[in-house]
Amino acid sequence: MFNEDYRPKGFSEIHGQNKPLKDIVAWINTWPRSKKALLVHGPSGIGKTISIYVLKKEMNLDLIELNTSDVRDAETISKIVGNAASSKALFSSRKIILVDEVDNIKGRSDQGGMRTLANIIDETQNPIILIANDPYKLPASLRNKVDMIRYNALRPASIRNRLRQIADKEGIAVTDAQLDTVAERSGGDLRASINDMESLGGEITDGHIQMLSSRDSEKTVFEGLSAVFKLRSLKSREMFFDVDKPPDEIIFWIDENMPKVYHPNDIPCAYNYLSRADVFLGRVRRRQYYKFWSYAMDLMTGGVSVCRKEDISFARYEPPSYFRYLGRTKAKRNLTGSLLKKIGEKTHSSSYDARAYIPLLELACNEVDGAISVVRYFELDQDELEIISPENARNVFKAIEKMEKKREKARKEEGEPDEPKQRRKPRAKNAKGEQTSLFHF
Amino acid sequence: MNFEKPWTEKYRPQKLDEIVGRPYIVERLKSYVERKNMPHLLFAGPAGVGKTTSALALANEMFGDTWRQNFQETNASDERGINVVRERIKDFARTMSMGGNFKIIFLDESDALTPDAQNALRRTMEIYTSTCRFILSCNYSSKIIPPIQSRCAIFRFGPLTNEAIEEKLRMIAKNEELNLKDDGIEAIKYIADGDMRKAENTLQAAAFLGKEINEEIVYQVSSRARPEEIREMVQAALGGGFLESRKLLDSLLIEKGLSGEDIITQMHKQIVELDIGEDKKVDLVDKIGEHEFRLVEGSNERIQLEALLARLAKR
Repeated sequence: MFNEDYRPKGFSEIHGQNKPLKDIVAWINTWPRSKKALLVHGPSGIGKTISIYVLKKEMNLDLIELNTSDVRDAETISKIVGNAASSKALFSSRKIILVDEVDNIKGRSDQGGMRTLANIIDETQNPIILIANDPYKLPASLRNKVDMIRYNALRPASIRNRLRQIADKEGIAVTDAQLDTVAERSGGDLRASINDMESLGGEITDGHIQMLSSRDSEKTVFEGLSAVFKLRSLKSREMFFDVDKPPDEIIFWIDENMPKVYHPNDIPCAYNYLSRADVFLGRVRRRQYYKFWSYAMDLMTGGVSVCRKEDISFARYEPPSYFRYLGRTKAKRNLTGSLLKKIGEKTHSSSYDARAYIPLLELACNEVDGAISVVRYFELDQDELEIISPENARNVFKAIEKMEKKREKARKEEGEPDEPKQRRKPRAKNAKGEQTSLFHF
Repeated sequence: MNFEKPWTEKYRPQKLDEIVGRPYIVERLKSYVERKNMPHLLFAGPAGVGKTTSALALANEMFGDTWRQNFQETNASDERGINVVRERIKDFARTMSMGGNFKIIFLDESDALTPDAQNALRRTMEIYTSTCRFILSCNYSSKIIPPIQSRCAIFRFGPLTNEAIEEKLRMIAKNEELNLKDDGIEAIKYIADGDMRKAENTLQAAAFLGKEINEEIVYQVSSRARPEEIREMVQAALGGGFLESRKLLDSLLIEKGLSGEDIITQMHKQIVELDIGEDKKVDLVDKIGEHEFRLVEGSNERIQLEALLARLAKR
């Protein structure tokens, strides 16, 4: 595979990312001036992971790695990363810990992984590098502990240069104009465009290039939208037969753009049909009866199309902003779930009923002291507290940290042996060393 | 006629050259065979358009006699959790190929994998490229997370053209010594709607009733009305002739034994061809959909269809 065969082996083979690469080298060389971990982030296929591999070689690093194909629960992370973090490298090479795809530590199987990682960052003796597509999918508790370096999508010219090098070595007959098309279709993703070129074979014609399904299917959606807004016909649905998106996604594209181009007089009629289409989508969701998709499609395309009586105004079509919004708030919505669950556990109520406590807790958290009690009682972490008390959360956790350090210091001064940090005191033990039961009479 | 096995299997192309209607895709896949190498592939498209067939034929040509040892087919919709990726797929991926440079994992319906499972898959795809290539098939590539799309060459399989379906049907008919009439072919194409599996199944069903395959037999075995019958009934209703259209409805329900759902689906399909205004067409689609919903909810099919026909007449 070209992507394997032409994996960059030195700095000079990484294209278009000089700036972030230099920043990473500088960060490693000055560590631990920054006590934080490093988060390298950016879209897919532009050289984030490969940069670290190249650094490993060029800087002779000892790289310890953990990625999503492994289970990454608290135990695994503390075993692998924790061990590496506390031991110095053998020989003289520097040890670096790499946690790839850190935005995908989640799900039941990765329970507690994020928190463990955040703790290790505080204590590590070796630099930790994290890689993610979207830094805002990380919990704030982790995001507060990283320096960020961003990788941008590549410019088509950078991609074309790299494609040209590979094509020449492989003896592929292809023109610059054709490579430009491949590069542009990839949306800045070098790995994807290398795959595309490889998939075209040894001799490339314009016909082949047209066959490449456009990586950003937005183009075909835009053609469909044009048909809907212009044709005034049920036939406009046909433009969507070849669009690689399901109806429950297409409806948001129409919803986003229709009101921008339709005359206000036509909008109510068009929304009536979008609403009817949505009713059918709901029926599909509820009973998994996919035949209703055909009605939904007809109503959202043809229905909207025939409602237009006035001329359309010019506007650039855009992807649905609703999705972007959902993406941004998803982390928060998940978090609300975990907060309510913790409240529910302590109050013997369901997550739903636990909502009733939120106004009370908001009041309690107005003062830092009150917020500390709330955190202790419900065992909240910083992200969860931020939902209840966005303005105090940071200070509260700083205060808690300070208090814990103070307590530890005091203990050391009294000459007590180090105890592992524990938030809750172990239950009292009786003379025999057995734990006393709550129901011990 | 004896049933030996489904014709979809009997006539499934073994070699890439036997695949009809996909000249460009076949050409690209053949270049992989020549080079004995390939990237990960993502096949996107609806049912019955050749995704699995292309993967099987590619493996067959790539590995020859040992293709069965080097090809693993997993249906992601049966087991879609992250653990499938972390355990089963990883296990197959890490073992060596028998007599080839790599093996192929075909992950059918991969859009049924949860996003978490897809995320676990992305690194597996990269780590084991020395031993393994993935072919993912899905209905919509937008349901596959971007990092995986970035790791794959994407092949889009649209609905098959009627010409491709006809070519294949004629080939099968010749081999099975059927007398395939032109109106029979047209009827199968109408029913198949670009889905080869449906086309071949319909042909095989029709062949049970005799060597001659004509329109009537095709509609009979696929429990469909002839498009003209539906059109006639709808036209009558639109013209205000409720009783007349009901008579036609009864003959479809009772004499032909069609179900209410079959009839309503066909009505929907015919709408676009009717000689009425576009506004009216969309309005009809909405009404038809509504009555199909009521049918699915368990209402009486005759009452629902009668009501629908009556509503067509209303201006």
